[in-house]
Amino acid sequence: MVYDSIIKGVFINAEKTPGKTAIVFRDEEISYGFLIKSIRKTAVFLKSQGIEKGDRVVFMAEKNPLFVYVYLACHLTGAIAVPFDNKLPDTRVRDIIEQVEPGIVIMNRKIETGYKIHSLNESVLSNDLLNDYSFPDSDDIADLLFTTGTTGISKGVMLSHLNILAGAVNTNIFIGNDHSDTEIIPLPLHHAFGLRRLRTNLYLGATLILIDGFLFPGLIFRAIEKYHATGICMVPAGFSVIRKLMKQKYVDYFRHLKYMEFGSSPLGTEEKKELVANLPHTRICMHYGLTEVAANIFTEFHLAGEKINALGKASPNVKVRIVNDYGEVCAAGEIGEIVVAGDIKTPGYWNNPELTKEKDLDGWFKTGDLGYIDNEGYVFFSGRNDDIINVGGKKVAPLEIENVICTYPGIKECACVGSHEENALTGDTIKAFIVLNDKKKKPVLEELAGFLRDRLELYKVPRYFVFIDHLPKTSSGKVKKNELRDKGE
Amino acid sequence: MINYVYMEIEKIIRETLLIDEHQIMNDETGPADIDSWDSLGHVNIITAIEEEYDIEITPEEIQNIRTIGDIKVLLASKDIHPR
Repeated sequence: MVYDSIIKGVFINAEKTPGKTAIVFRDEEISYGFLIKSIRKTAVFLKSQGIEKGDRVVFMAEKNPLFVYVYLACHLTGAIAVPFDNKLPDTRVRDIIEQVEPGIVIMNRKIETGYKIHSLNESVLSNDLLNDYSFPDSDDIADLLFTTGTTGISKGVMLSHLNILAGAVNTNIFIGNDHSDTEIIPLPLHHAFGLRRLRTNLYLGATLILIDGFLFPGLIFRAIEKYHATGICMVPAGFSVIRKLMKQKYVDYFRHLKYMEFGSSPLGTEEKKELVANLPHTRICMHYGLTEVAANIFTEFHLAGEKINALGKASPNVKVRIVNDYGEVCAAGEIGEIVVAGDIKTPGYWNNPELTKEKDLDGWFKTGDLGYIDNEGYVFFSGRNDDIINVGGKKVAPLEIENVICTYPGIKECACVGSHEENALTGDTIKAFIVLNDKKKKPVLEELAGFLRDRLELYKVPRYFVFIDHLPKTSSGKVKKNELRDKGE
Repeated sequence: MINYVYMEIEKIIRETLLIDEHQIMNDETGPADIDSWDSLGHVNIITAIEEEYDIEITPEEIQNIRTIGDIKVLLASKDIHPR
């Protein structure tokens, strides 16, 4: 049964099975009945603050049920949910607030924004339940997710209720999960992947277990054992952490899983083969996706066989093409840009019609990724047509980091590149090449790193700093990043 | 008495996580207190300690490490003494 929206599906699930566990968080079990009550209470709070359809609600994405209540209460009131990473630096939070002009700001952080700050706890304190509500139309904007693209400039990706519904339905068709499943979500909830898994499970009437990242893999193992979890969503960096810390012990637990969904960054061939060998009865799925077009290509490692390194085939209900520089469809095997169409496609960027137009090709979304499709419909990734760095699944625009580094005293210029190291856990590691005004006056690395941590998300802070006399440049002055990538320092 | 093992552990953590001297550390300090002590930072700390003391930390032992104090207890259990 396909409902009109995620929020409607969650309400219907609560009517059918009010006592069923919707969310497990630190051993607290929250039923669908309680979840709906909490959403309706939070909706009363939002309404009391003057929130109406189309208003933006900016709130901090903490990994707890309060986040879920606020997120779904936005949808119930017709407001637009603008969740942000709770580790985002203050400057970025202010930037988002300036861009979206919210009706309310909810976060457990005291920063000067020009808005009254409400806490997450405050949002569920109402004793009243919202009774007068209607579910949103499919074209209404549900979410506004901020990412920094290739230019390093923060942009808000609008997702309609149809987009997020289609993302959930398509994923469920491919993975084959249903209401009887219990899934562990160790991923952050402000991120498109984690948020999609949350929606997907609640829409199905399944149970989700929220766990704070991969720092303590024992918590994940315990959840599998205690709650008989049947699925998990995973990023390659998280899997690397688990393998590194727990060695092969993960097999004892993961072999009980019905499915895993990987995403956000590439997984190495050896890891894929290891998973196939170690987990013969688990559907090991991996998606290729972007915030703008959800998970649009899927593969399953057992079934992929010798094409285990393909991105996979177009997701159910999604169309994928490869086009050349003129927008013409490429022949099989010919490399071009991956473009995507379907109900998952974003209506565009917030207040940015130019970028919306730039990324659109007659209704298809231009991903900026290069690839080709073989005769059997398998899509293969060939690279990005820009300098983007992928740190553990998080896309980082070098320009954003470079701009911040260059504000540090004594630094003349710099260039950042992704460096893929043997045994690296994060995919790419960021390496900053720095030219000083006076090469005898090297900054103290700890101080420079601290400076960057105050201004950038943690994963954007370079792991390595290399001081050089000058940056290699083309005749037009563009930094030759390929040369820097090849430098082994 | 100066606890050299503690100083060494603190030094390893500061260098691994690129933390400056203003960050105060004690036995109770853990991931909740230091932003860069995330899952990858945790792996890097464990790896650095394994290399520094030429030991192997088992998955069972790793599950008990939540704070700097836990690392000290672990090292003591492996009979690692101040230099």
